[in-house]
Amino acid sequence: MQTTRFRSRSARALADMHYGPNMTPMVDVVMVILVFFMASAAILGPEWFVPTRLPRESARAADESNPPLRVALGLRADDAGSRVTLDGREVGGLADAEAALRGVTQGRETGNVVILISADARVAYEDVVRLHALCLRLGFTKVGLTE
Amino acid sequence: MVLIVFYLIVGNLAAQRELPMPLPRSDAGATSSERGVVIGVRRDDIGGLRVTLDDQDIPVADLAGRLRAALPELDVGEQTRAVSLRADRTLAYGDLLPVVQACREAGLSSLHLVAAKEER
Repeated sequence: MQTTRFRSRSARALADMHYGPNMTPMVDVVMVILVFFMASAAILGPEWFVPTRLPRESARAADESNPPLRVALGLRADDAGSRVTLDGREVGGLADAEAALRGVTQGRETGNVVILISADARVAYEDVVRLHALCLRLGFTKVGLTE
Repeated sequence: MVLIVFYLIVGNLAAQRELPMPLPRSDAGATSSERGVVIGVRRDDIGGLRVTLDDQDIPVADLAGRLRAALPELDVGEQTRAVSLRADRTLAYGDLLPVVQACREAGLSSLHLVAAKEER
C-alpha cells in the first residue's frame, strides 16, 4: 500500500528527495525586491510641475502672417489677495481673471496666444503659479514669466 | 529581510537631500520623472533666502554663471534637459525675480516650476 511505504522512509530519506536547488529563498528575495521597488515608486513618484517659458526681448515671433495675440497679465499685491490686470485693465481676483481671459481670446486657437505674466515684487509666488495654472488649464501653452 | 527593506527605503528617502518645503499648489501642470537641474529657493533660518543649485548653496549672483557653465550639458537648442525651480510657496515674487532673471540671462528658454498637485 502506498502510504505505509511512504511513512516507512526516514526523515533523512525524505530530505534527500529534494531535487535541484531549494526555490523558497529565491522567491523570498524576489518578493523583497518587488516590495522595495513598489515602495520607492510610491514614495518618490513623478514630479508635478508647471512648465513655463522665459521670453527674451530678442525673441519676437517670426510668423507675421498669423501674428499671435499677446496678452499681458499683471499681478498686484493687495490686502485682499492678489489683483489681476489684463493688458493694463484691472480685472479682479483669480476667478474673474478666467472669465476675462476667455473673453479676450475668444475665437483664437490656443496655440496662437502668447501670455506674459508679470507681478509686483510683493505678490505671493503661489498666486503667480495659480495664475499660470489657470492659463494652462484654459489650454494656452505659450505662457511666460517676465518682470 | 525586513531590515534590508527598511534600510533600502530609508536610504532612498535620505537621498532626496531636501528639507520638506511647502510647494505652491497648482491644479494644472505636467508630470515628469526627470528632475534635471534643480534650482531650490527656500527660506533661511534667519529669514533670508537660500538658493541652491543641485543642492549646492550658491549666491544668486553666481547663479547665471553656473547655469551658463552647465548649459552645454543642458543642450539649450531645444533644451532637452529640464531645469526645475523648487521654491517655497510663501516666498514673494520679488524674492524669485533675481533667480528667474538669472535663468533668462543664462539663456534658458523654459523652466519647470515644481508644484504640489491640487485637485480642482
